[in-house]
Amino acid sequence: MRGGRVHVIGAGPAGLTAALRLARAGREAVVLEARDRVGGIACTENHGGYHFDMGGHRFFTKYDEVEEVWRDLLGEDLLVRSRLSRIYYGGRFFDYPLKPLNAFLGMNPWNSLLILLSYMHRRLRPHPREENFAQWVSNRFGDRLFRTFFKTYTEKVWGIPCTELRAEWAAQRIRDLSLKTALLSMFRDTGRRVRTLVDRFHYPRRGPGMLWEAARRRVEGQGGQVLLNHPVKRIKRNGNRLTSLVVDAPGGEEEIGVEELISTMPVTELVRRLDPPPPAPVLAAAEGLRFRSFLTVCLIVDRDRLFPDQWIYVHDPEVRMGRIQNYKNWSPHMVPDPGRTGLGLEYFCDRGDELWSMSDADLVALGRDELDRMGLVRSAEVLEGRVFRVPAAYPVYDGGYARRLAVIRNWLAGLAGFQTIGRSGLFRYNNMDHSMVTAFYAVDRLAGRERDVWSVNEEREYHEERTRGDGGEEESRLGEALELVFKRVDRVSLGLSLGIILGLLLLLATLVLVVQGGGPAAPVVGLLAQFLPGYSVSWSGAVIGLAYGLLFGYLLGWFAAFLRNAAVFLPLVLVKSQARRAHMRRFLEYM
Amino acid sequence: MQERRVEKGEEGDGHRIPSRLFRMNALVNGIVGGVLGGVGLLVVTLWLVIKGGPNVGAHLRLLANFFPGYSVTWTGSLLGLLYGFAAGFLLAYAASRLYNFFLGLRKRGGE
Repeated sequence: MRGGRVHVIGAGPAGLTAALRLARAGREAVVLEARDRVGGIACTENHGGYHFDMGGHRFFTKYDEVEEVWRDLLGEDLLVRSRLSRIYYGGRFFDYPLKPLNAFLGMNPWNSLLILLSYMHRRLRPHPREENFAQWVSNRFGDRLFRTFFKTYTEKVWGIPCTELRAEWAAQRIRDLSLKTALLSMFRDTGRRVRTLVDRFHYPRRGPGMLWEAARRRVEGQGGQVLLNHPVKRIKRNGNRLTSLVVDAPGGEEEIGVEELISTMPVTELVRRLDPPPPAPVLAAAEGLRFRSFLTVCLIVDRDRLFPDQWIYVHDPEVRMGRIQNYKNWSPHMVPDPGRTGLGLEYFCDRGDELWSMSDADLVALGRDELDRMGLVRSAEVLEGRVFRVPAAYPVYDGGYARRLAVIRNWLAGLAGFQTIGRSGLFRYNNMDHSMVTAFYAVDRLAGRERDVWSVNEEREYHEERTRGDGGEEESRLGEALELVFKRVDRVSLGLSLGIILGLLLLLATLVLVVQGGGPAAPVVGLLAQFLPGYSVSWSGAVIGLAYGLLFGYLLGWFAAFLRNAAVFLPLVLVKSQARRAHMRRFLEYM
Repeated sequence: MQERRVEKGEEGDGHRIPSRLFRMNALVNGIVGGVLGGVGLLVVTLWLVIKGGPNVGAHLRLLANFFPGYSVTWTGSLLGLLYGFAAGFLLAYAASRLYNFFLGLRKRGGE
C-alpha cells in the first residue's frame, strides 16, 4: 500500500472502520467528525449514566471479518442477548415478525373475517403489476391486513404514502433465498450451516457507542487522529482531483490539503459542498434524493420492569411514535439504577418538519402522554426526559431515487483519489456491518485491489442463514447439476418420438412376417389383434399396426414424460413453498 | 447435454422454478438402450437354457424370424446379446433423435 495520509469524513461505523484498517496497514488516517462524539447514527447518548442507543442496533453479521473487529474491540463487553420484540396495535401485542395467523387470531372475529375475505380476494385478483410497496404487500397479505399492519407503520417510518415507495424496497429485503439456494441447502453438509442471530444477537455492554469509542482509541493509539467538532464545510477540487477540505474547526476555519479522501457524509451533502460545484444535473439529482430522520424522546421511568421486549413496533395509528426501545432489556448495564428503566420513544420525521421543530419539552410531554394512553407507563412514573435528534438516518427509496443516484454515482466515479462509503455515503439501506464492509473495500482499493463498494449489500446471501467457509465453487457446480436434474421432459416431443418408433416397429415386424409368408411367429404376433382390433399379420394389418403404434406410443411417451416431470417437480414445489415462507418471514423481520 | 429454453419459467416472489426443457443425448441413450436390450435378451435366453425342459423357449425362439441365426441355446444367447444391443441401441438412439427433432420444431414454433 502506498504511504501518505488519508482523510476520512465522518466517525461513524464506516469512517472509523476505514481508519482502523488504514492504521493496520500503516497509513495515517485523519478522521474529521462534525459532532462532539463518535458513532454516527450508531452512537449511544448518555444522560446521567443512562445510555440511549439511537435506533437500537442488533449486532449480527454474516461477515466473519466484521465479527472479528467487534470481538477484537469489545472482548468480554460483547454480550449475547435473547431477542424479544413485538408489535403494538389497537391495545394488543402481536408477534414480531408478524405472523399472519397470529394477526388474524388476535383481531376481533369481525375484523378477522374481513381480513380473510380481503386476503382471498387479492389471491384471486392480484394487482397485475407490483410497482409500489402497497401493491406488493396487498398481493401477499390482502388489502385489509396491509392497511392494518403495514401501511401505518411504513408511512410513519418513511413519511410518504406506501404507493410512492418502490416495490423494490420490499424486494430488496426478501431477495435472498432463491429457490436454487433452497435446493442447494438440501445437498449441503448441514453441519456447516450456521443458524445465527435471529433469536439471539450480540450487543455491547453499554451500547454501540462503546464499540466506536474503543475504535477511536485504537485509531489514535496507532497514530491516527479523530478530530471531533470538525465539520467539513467545503470540499475544494481542481477538475477531477480533490485538493483540500475547508473545516469549521473549534479554533476557526481551517483548510486542510488532501490527497486521498474517504467520505461517509450523506452523498447529497457531499455533492452540495463541492467547490466548484459539480454539473447542474448532478446537483439536481442530489436535490431529489431524500433522507428520513428520526428523533428519540428518552425517558427515565421510575419502575424496574415495564415489558420484556427490547423494542416494540407501534403500528397503532392513534399514536405518532413508531418504536419504543427499552434499553435495559438490550443490556442491563444501560441503566445505572436497576430500579429504574430507560425508554426511547422513536418518532420518524423529516429535518425541519413539525415534529423535528417541536421543543424538547413538548416532545417529552407528547411521549409521556402517548405512553400513558397506550397503557404502558403512567405519566407520573416518568422522572425526566431528553430528546436526541438523528438527521439523515434512512435513505428513502422513492420513485426516482435509483435514476438520481446513478447520476451522482457516475459523476463521483470520475473523481480521483476519492471514495464514498457507508449508509449515507452510498444512499443504501445498509446495516452497520454492511457499512463496515464498504470501509474494508475502500481501504482495499487504496491498496490497489479490485473492489466495488457499491456491491456490498447487493449479494444474494442473507445474514440470517450463512455458511462459513468458501463454498462458492461447490455451489456453482451443484447449481449446474440441479439445472440438469430439474429440466422438464417435453411431453409432446417424447410422445411423438415413441409413437413413431413403436409404429415403425409394428409396421416392420408385420412386414417381415408377411414377406416371410407367415411362419410360426405369425400366429403369436397376430394375438395382438386382441388388444388392437383390426390388426393382422398382413399388408393392411401392417398399416393398421403403424397407426396403433403411433397412437399408443404417443400416449405412452406423453404419460411417461408427465409422470417423470411430476415426480421431479412435486418436491420442487414443496421446496419453493418453504422458500416463499422463509422469504416472507425475512421481509416481516424488517418491517 | 445441451439445453434449450423453450418457455419462460414460473415467476413469483423472486423465485423461479426451473423450466428448461430436457434435451436428450442420443448416443448415451442409445448405449443405455443397447445394453438393456442386449443384456436383457442374453439373460432371458440363458435363463431358459439353464431351466431346460422338453420344448426350450418355444416362444422366444420365434425371434429368429427377426434376428436370423438366433436360437435359445448357449451360442444363441451370445448372438442375442449382439442383436439385442443393436436393436436397443437403434430404437433408443432413433427415439432420442426424434425427440430432439420435435423439441427443436416446437421451440421454433414457439418463438
